[in-house]
Amino acid sequence: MTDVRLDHVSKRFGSIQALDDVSLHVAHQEFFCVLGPPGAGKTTLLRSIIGLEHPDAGTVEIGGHDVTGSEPGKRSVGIVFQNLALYPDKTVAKNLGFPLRQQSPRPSAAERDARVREIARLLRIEPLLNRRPAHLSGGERQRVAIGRALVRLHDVYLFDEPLSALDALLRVEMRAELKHLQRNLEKTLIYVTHDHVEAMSLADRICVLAGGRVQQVTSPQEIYRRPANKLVAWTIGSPPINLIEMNVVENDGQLSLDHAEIRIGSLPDGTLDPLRALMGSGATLGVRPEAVMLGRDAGDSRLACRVIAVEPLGPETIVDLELHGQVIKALTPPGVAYRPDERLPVAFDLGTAHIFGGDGATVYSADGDQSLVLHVGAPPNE
Amino acid sequence: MSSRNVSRLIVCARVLAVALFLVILLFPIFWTTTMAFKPAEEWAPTDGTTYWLPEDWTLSNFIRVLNIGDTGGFGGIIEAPLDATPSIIRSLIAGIGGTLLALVCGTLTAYGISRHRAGGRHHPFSILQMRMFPPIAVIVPILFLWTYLQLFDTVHGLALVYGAVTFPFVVWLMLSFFDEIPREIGEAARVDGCSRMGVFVKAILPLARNGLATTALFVFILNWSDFIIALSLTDANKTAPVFLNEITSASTGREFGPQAALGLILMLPPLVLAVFIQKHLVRGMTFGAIKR
Amino acid sequence: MAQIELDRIDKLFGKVEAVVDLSLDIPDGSFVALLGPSGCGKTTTMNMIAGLEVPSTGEIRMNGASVVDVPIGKRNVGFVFQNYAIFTKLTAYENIAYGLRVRKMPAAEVDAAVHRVAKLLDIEPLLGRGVRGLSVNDLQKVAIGRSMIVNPDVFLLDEPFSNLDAGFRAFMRTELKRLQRELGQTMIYVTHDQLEAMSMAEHIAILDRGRLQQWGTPEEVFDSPSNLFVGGFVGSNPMNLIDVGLQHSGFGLVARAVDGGHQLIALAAERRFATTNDGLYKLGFRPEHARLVSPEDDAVDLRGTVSLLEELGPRNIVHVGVDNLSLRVVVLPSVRPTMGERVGVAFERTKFHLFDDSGLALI
Repeated sequence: MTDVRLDHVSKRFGSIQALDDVSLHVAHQEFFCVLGPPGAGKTTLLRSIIGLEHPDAGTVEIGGHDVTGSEPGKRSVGIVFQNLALYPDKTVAKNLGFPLRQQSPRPSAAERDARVREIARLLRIEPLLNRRPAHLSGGERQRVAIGRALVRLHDVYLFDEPLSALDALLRVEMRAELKHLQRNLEKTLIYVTHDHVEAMSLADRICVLAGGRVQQVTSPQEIYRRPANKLVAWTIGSPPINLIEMNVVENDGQLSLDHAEIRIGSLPDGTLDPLRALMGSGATLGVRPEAVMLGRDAGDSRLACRVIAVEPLGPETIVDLELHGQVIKALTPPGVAYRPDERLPVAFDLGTAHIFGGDGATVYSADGDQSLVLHVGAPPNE
Repeated sequence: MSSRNVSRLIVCARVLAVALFLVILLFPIFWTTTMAFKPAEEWAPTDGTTYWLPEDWTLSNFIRVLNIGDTGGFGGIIEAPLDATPSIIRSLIAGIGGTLLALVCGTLTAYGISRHRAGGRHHPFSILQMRMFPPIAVIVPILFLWTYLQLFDTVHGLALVYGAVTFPFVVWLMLSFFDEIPREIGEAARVDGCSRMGVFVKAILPLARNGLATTALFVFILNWSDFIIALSLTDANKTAPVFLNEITSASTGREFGPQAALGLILMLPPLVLAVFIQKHLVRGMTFGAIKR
Repeated sequence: MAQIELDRIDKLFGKVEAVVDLSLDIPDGSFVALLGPSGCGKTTTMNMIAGLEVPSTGEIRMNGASVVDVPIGKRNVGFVFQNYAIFTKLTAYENIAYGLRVRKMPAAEVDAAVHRVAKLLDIEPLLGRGVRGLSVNDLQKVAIGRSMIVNPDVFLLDEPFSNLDAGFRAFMRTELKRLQRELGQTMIYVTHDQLEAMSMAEHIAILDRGRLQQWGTPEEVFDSPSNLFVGGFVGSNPMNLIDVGLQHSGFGLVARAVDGGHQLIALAAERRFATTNDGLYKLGFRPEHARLVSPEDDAVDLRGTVSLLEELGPRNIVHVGVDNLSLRVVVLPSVRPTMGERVGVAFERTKFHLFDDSGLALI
């Protein structure tokens, strides 16, 4: 069993709290993604696991052994650095062989050579073995860096944004390769990224980290459909979820969420108590851009919005709409030409909507439940 | 005047300026080289003739200064014996010794500062300050100290001072080279299983070897050409530059020929060294280490 | 206001051909993106328009008049660089005002202009602040403001957003597009990010190795790539490419997949390829233009097994292994085939492409 367990780990750099009481359990042979914006503490987390940083408080366990104070070379953990950190003066073969030479007892030259070739074959870099990093393409360097991490048989492998510097298309290709690789390796993988698509695509489970704190740990589908809070919902999805500030209003015992132009009624029973507590401060409605429907798709909706801008992306089009001074983004199929300044009927699919409380925590995620009802028009003044 | 003529004039002026600069720069080398091959009569003729090139090419200056044969005397005058060979050997030992000392200590110090912030914020700067005052300012106390430690007039004593004087120079040159090497390379080596010293020797130093070569050349030239420290700290065991300064004779005053010959010989080691490490003097080896 | 015309431009650096025989006609007031991988000549092209580089041969005309001999200071172009050039000792206000002050404009007019620009960019509250304290995002706005204020005929932007974080980049895309519409100036935007080019530009010039590959609207370059390079470069998912042998047979036009187990793809109804010669071609279709069907379905083009499922939230990507080929299909999140399941892939008949051995798309 080679699981990784972090227990109440904290780390501070001067005035910056990089990790704040982080507890995580990464299961044996799991593909675990740590997702978060730049500065969230992702890299510090990885460096604490491998031993390049020592936490101020808390413990790190690998395979049931406390490794909090041990040297990185003694942890049986491999890493692919964000900037790859290949040895520029060494050939690909020597880069791959270097970790093996440091092993004690040191494997024989023949054994080392065999292992290097095996890894090179796995990563399809055999023809490059005699080249230096400067003469490789971005994708090839990427593979060499991964190979150098894999060449020694470790229990756990760490990836620190390994695809961030590649071109968009190459990133998509390498993503699929990594997924295949992990399946063949049968190892525990911890993968850090700021790209939610990468995380969604690769991970068995995703941990969203922000401000050094764990926001949520769960499966990709779950994290998309049932984010724990506003921050998680905002982090996952591109373009990001539309957040609309609403007032919590009670009329004749009927609770509803009100906004200058729309009202959300028929709130499910479970949400009534927490929402009632927000009567003064208000709540936030979260609607994903793909749940905003325009024009013909909006049916007979009475809500009309002005088009601010249209961004055709090829397979889909982002339309920016104005809703009472706020920009709402809609993700629509291509083929319909929308023009700036035209007014379009707009509807929300509330079956995927979320309601967040004042502190950002999720009060309600519809997740297929169609009970919320959208009313259009200014709410009556009381 | 048309603009075409103006621009031609500017080009002419530029060529002239460069030529003038080159003459000033190259004349001493020309003088030394020709003088080294002139017989005694042509060194500084009293009749006012100027010999731009030696009329009578001769190797006698070299033969005399290195004491490798009989020159047969100059115009019947028996010259005082000259032998710069021991002083050249002493210069080599002191120069190389001092350079090695400064390189070893300075490189390790620079690595410590670059990677582990050794010395905090202020000490690295005070190392540079050591380089800011002239060595002559502290030469008298060192003279006393060296006499007491019985290092005065010894080659190893001189090497120690050379090492100390050029140490800050090495630290500051190597620091900039180490700073250019991505931290992750050292970290990768640690993860790969190297000890801390192993990281330095196996991963970092191979990357810094261009810098190391450049630094070694600079420091050796500094030590090799030192005059003032050697003048103060030696007596009988002179180094070559001090010896050169003292080549005089009662009959002719300054002996320009042997001085020039020795000068020419002293130019050789840095030149040879530079040729050897020339390919390292070009930087850019770290390219490809990290993604851009 | 400026209409810009590049007429058969070549640019050599020593023996390196940076730009080869490039002709572009950029309409007045349009938003144009120069798109391509690094080293494709896009920045060189921009520099030539700006006057930072002189073309080796060819003409650059602004509003019909040649500007090849006009120095950069007289071309009235505005610049925004990737590494914004900002004076760190000055305030945001002074930075924005700089261009007008060196032109010795009266203080009152400068003040009015700075406030107008700041208002457009929504940075009025920051004007009095030193730029050291500003976020990267705000700095970029100041940099844009700086080049905007001199009211240039042409705006040149060289990957201005690449230092920004992803969320703000998306926001600035919209902002810049709005700004361009309000100012009505010609804007030329250099980027290697196809998403930026697609979402903002009215016309895209795609360059590779110094040569123009395609000039068209975002829809045109996405739906009808002129060659293999454009097909591969545009789009956020790689195009599926299959080596096929094309044959006119008794059943009409038929493609036989070379790698995909020699499966037959009937293209009989495709009149646009009716006169194409028999031979080897590459058949390409986008993952977004294909769907998963039952292997027994009549519409099926290729049969294979599911090798990978990427669940990305609003859509899933299914990888289908067809022998040693791997095809991608974008599907709705509700479609979740299991690993190893046998499926059929059908691509939209009007949206696939055939590329000949030189990579050119057949029309």
